[in-house]
Amino acid sequence: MTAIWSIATPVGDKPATVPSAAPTKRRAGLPLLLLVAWLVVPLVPVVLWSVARGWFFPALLPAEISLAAWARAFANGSDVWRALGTSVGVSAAAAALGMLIGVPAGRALGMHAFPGKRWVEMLVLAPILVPGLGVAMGLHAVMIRLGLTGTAGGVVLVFLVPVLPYVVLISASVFATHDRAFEAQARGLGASSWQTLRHVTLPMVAPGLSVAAAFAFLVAWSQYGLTLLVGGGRVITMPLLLGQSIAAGRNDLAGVAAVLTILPGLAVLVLTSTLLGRGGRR
Amino acid sequence: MSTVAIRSLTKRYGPGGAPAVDGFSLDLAPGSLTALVGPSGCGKSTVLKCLAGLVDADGGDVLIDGSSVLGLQPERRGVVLMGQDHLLFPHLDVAGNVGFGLRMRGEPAGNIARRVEEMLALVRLEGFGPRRPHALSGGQAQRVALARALIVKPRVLLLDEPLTSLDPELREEMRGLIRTVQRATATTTLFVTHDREEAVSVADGVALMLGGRLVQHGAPDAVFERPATRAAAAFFGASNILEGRFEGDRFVTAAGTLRLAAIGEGSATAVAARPEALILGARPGAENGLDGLVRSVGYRGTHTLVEVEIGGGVMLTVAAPAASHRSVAVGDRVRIALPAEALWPLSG
Amino acid sequence: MPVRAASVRRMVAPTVAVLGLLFGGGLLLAVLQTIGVSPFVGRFDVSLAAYRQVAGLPGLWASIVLTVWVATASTVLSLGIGVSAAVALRRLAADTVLGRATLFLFQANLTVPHVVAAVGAVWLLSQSGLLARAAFGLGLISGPQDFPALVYDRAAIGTILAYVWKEVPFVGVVTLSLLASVGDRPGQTARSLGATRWQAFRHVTLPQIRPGLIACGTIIFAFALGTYEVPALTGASQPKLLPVLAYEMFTSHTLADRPAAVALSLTTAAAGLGMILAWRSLLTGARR
Repeated sequence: MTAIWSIATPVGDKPATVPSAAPTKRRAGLPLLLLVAWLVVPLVPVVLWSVARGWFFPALLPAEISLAAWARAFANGSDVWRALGTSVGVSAAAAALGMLIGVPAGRALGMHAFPGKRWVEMLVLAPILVPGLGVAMGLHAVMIRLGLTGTAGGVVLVFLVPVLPYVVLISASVFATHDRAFEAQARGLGASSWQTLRHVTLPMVAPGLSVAAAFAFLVAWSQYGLTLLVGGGRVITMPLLLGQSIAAGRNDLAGVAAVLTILPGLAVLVLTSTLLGRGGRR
Repeated sequence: MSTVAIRSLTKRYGPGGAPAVDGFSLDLAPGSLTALVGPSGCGKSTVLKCLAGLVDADGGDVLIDGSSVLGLQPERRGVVLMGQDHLLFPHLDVAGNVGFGLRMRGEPAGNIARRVEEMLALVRLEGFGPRRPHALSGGQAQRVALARALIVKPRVLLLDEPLTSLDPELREEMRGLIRTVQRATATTTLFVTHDREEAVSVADGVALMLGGRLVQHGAPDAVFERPATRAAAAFFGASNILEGRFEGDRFVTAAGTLRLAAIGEGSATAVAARPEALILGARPGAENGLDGLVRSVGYRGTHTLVEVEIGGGVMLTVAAPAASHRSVAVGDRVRIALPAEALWPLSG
Repeated sequence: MPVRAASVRRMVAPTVAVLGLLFGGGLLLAVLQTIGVSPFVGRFDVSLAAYRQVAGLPGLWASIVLTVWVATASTVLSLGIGVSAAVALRRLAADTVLGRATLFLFQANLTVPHVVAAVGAVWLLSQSGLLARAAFGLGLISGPQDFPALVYDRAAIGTILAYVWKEVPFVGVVTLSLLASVGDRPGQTARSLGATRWQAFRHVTLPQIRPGLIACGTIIFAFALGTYEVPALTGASQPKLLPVLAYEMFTSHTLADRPAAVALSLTTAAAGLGMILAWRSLLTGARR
């Protein structure tokens, strides 16, 4: 490139510094590197504690690596097994119920104008913007009456409050970008409304809706305050088990619980990104 | 009025990729309007982006008024790019859009308002200042974009297919407006288009770009009627190409010997002729007459395209008067004349 | 294919019913409870005693100030860092390994529950945490007590950092999609009209992504205002953040405290609701 420059640049002209991509990227490199570090660093002690035995100040790394906490976590009938089961169960149930209830509403909001739409939107947005603790406290007395406090069913029910808005909003955005001309085309080609749904609409919106389902699962999986309040200490999910281990000063068990609390999210991320990738290629 | 000199400009996207722009050189005279024409993908938009500073060139140089601009940030080049989409800022009204460049320079509000009025008058949109971009028609939006570009008195105005998204009638009108405004402001302008008629009708000079390189640069009638190469002839619609060899001012082809008004260089092995320059049904004994067989007749409204097979299996296309489709039929034997002035030797 | 109003109603009815009953009903019962009405317990002695009890809580003002401080600081920092990161990522490093790594971490981070963020913050920032150990190793401090109190502290630095750690990726991902929908060309047009890089962002790109960022900030603010587990794990025992205070009052053995706890939660929720309306009018005002 230097050679071309010396030919192309008239004598006396400064050999213009080409704003090539390299220096600009280097300038952004350091802040981004710091950002990456900042995103990773808090997870380092989480992983280390899960395999540490005797890790006291000022040791930077555990003196001894041990899988004892993991072995204990996965022993038969351990708290961890039970909490994992509870977490998977209530999160999946809340996500499934949420999809069943919320996807039709998402379709209506995304594709149709109808009287009162603004109010439905407000109602859907409200749980995202209004802290749920007060609402759950209000429901508490009714749920005691119905015998739902301290049960997984009761927890699933209140999880719908934070889960539904995400399902409705995500599926609304999926349906908003869905072109109804495809459905009209299918009907014109002789498909019934059910066939159109089955063979045209669903395949087209499936990747987007699976993201909604994944999000719903994760929102339920991450709940803490609502579980504590409605579960009344009898429904122990992974986040709650983590809190209990911290309170008990068992950092090693807490480390294991923390790692196990993160993993489903990562799995879901990998799953949805491959799903979306496949959807995008189509 | 600024001069622009593009010198051996090269740009490739991605390491190891084929160059989009490959040693491209072009000079623009001060105050001129040059059309840069070529098929899509020939690299013409990349040239504009290099000039505007939106992509970094890999090699070569761009000199404006004698000094290189490649090292300058986009806003310091005095080069304004206006594209196919008007790209009016949706959050600003028309006056805010037109005055944008002056506001960025920190000019006093009174000055900006006065200059905005002047520019809106120039593009014949007096009183449109308070309108919102979404309330404008396509043609109006494009005129606002033109006013916004010219208010900063750019050294060079780059227009990237500015009329492509407009209706045909509107396109004609905008073409005239661009020409008028460009003359009034004497702004050195490079106008990219893939439409050869648009290129020759709007510009002082036409530059043809093919495969990342400059193929020909000259006056509109020159590039239209005297293409330099087979590819240039094909692009400008000089679709009749006869292969052969020169003997003095005679050109010998398989179908017969032709006299040319222009003398080809020794290396020329082909001549080109535009379909509308050929004459269908020439009298016997007319100069450069060739006999042939009509292979197809296609009515085009303003003219009729007749394909004639002459000796040696060569096919010639003649743009005959529209009424010809009633007098000529497939299978007819006809005689066509190739006037000496209509034949142009190709060098490559 | 015209869609009949009835079929649209059928589509939204389940969601409206469930949210109306659980959210709306819960809210209504909560309000009733604070004014002494508990239909399911059969109590109907209307009074504002619960609110008086809340107003008389020792250290209430310190808790309010701290809660608003945490929510504001978390929102401002998350927006600032998240937007800058997204802009840098999009402009300079979209195709680099570093850029892809950041994007992956953004997405991965979104899936991490807040409770893990809080635990991570404690183990990293406490006086015997990883940073303190590193500082000791470098000879910067001579013992845990020399390390600044970043968790369990009165300024709630650890709580804020835990929120910011969680919300920066949220802001980043949202901003990236906002930037993608605006595209590069408005900014480039501004540059070619003579705007500097900063001016192009400030006057052209930012106004176009502002509504999305305001919505994003609202969500973060509301979340930081009402979440229990993060301050519960990272906060000081005095003053407590409002959600912690409310939860502890609700679950204390004194059942008489419950209406006051609900009143406290509702006051926080009311602040959130007030914000939705304020933001909405701001948003529609800006759109005109």
